[in-house]
Amino acid sequence: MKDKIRLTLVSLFMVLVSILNLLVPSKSFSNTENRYLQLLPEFGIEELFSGEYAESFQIYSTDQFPFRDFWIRLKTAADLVTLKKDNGRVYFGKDDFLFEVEPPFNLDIIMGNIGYILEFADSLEERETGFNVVLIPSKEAVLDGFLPDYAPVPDESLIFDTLKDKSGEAFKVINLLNVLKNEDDEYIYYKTDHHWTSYGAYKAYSFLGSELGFEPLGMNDFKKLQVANDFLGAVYRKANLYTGTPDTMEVYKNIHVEILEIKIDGAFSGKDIYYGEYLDSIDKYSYFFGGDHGVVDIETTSDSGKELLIVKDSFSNSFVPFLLEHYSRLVMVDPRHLGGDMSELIEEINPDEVLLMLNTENIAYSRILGVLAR
Amino acid sequence: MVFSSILFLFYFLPLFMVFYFVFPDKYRNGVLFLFSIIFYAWGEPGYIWLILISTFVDYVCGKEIHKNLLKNDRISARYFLLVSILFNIGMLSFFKYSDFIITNINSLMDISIPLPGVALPIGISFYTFQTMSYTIDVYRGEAKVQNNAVSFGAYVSMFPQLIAGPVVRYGTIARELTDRSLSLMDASNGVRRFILGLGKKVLLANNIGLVWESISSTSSGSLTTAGAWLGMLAFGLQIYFDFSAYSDMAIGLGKVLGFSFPENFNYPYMSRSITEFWRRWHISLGVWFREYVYIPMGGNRKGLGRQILNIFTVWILTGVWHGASWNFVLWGIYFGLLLVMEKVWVLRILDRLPKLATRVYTLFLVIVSWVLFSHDSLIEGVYYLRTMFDFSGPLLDGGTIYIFYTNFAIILAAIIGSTHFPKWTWDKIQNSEGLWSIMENVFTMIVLVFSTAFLVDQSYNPFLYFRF
Repeated sequence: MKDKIRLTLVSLFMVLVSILNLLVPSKSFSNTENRYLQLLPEFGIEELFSGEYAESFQIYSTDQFPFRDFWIRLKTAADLVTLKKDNGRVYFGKDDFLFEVEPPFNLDIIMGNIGYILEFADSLEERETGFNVVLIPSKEAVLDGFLPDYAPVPDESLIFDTLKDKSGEAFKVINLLNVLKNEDDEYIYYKTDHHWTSYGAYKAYSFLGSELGFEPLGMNDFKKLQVANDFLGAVYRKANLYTGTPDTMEVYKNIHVEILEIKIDGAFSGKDIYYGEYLDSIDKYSYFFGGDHGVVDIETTSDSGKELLIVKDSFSNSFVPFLLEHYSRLVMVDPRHLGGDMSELIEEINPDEVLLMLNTENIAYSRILGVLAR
Repeated sequence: MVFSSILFLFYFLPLFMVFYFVFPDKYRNGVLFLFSIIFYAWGEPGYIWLILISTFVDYVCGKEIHKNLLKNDRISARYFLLVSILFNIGMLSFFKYSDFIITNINSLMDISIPLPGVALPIGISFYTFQTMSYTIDVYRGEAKVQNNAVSFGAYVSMFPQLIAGPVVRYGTIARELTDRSLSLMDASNGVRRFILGLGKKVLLANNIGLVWESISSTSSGSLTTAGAWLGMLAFGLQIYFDFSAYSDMAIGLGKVLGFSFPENFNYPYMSRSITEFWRRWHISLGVWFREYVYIPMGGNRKGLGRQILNIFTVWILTGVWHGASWNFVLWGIYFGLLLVMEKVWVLRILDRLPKLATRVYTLFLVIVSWVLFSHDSLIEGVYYLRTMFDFSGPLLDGGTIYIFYTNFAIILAAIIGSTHFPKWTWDKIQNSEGLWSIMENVFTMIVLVFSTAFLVDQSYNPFLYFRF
């Protein structure tokens, strides 16, 4: 009896899943993973013998597995039940904080990027343009108290120390680690995303005034607005399981200064730096500037007359709105999306100052700064 | 293709089962042969000819040996046996050892013959051994000749045990190859065995493997003593669960199809001597070497000196069978040495020691052996060993604590699972109540469902940055 039941159950399960495999229509894009999924590969003799067909089919079999997200959630639930504190991609920290599990640093990449920064600094010094570097620490480094106990994270001070050491007196290297750490009981990083909150960015802004030479505005000079209370960020997507409440997203709108015009990659794009349509999407952080672009050129009504070029990553998208008051022209350059030459761009814009403001992880994991030396 | 994949479980296997059971008896070997070839060719279609030629050569040799034996022509029979053995050894040497041999010749003679760099065809270490067992047994008169090429092909390429054993000697399944009975009971037990094997592989081995992976990727300078021990514990558990899980899945599948493959593992970590360990670990390989190398060389019948030589021959071969590099040679010699020492006097001492002491002795030596096994580079292996026994350096760091406490449940489950305790307990309570048989099926289904979840998860690959 027992044997019959077992055989029936297992066969039913296998047959059911196999039939669902055939019946459930294929999805071409996964919103949670934000990538294209493998569709049923087309059969060809050549693909068969090169092994390409087999490989694509293997990926297809898992990419299009019925109720895929459910299974992945189940796996992570099993991890947590067996007292694991990570699922290989994400640490499940204290107070519902999610952190990315980062691989160890690759020194070659770090030294390469630092080399590019130094070359960039040299070229700016030659044309007597002011240059500062601000390093934005990762959430793991700032909120280390919220990580699971003893969770290993790469030591970012290495990046700061090396850069500081090599910069000599030529340019300032400002580390935001301590400033942000002092606020670690405040809501300065999203729980489900790797970015800082607008409040975190505001704290950085207040501190940087004296370093970069402007008079930071107080809280009262901004109109605080909550734009979303159902934000589940990129780290959540990696975790695919979250028991806490979603993040809220706030913006601080400057009430004194206005934007005259914005050009994105050379094309006019209105006067608004906030893109409301993203609030309904999965990628809510792109509410700021509609995500990352090669060159975002902003003219403001600020009477400072100063022009600043920022080499930036996505962290600055929620930071730059605070600077509008202090610069007549702000040019945001994302090295990952910049098509042309950096030197030409500097020549063309001729800024008074250049600020390189990047998250340490972007310096640590990808050779994104080669474009600076071009 | 591997068993622990969505592709195998939900595409290949159901399709195969339908064909296998729908077709009448006499076509089943054909179905098995055909699907085995697809299974084999899936990852590397270029090597499909290899298994076909292998089948052909040994099939013909077997027939010729048999024919000549009938004519009382032992010389010709011997000739065909030699052809078969040289062919198999030659193929194995070419595909598995040519890089290793040439590298050593190059460094020894200071020349640089280019390396052929051939990729190792899956299962070659297993099926060459199996086909040799066939021709040798036919020559010895211990097995009947197989007159059906398709049945023979089904034996050589049989996908349940093609990639990771057990090494099924031809004689073991000769009868079942031509005449086997299918029973619901066997099928059901086979299914249970397969699912438990799947769970051992996906839920235990893979997860314990992550522990070893994170420890072995620590730069050697920052490895602590406790970390090194935890790493080897994890490696030992991983290799046991990985390997024995494959055997479980093979044996289970075999049962469903009507074959009884030999058991391959028998709670080796419970052993009370190294001699016993090797009677419980990868049993089918040990039997193969005993039957076809050790005993033909004279075994223990030609004096102690000769026996020691035979033991070392077998163990150097066992070592290189596991991989083409010096650490495996050393690993084999290490065990040869231990076995000789046990034979000569250690076993007598072990007999007088308490059970616990003999188990600690065995586990300790086995764990040390895994250090050799897991490090291709001898220098790294020696460094790792030194870290394990260096109690003056850093003993413990945060990273090790994290790995330990977050994997504690899995490590504990694996340790308990590697003893006979769970099965012993289960057999006890199972006999007492009807309710437990429902529990057994519930448990089996849970293992299947969670294994599926873990397999799907492997493909989860979120891409975090837009347009990047």
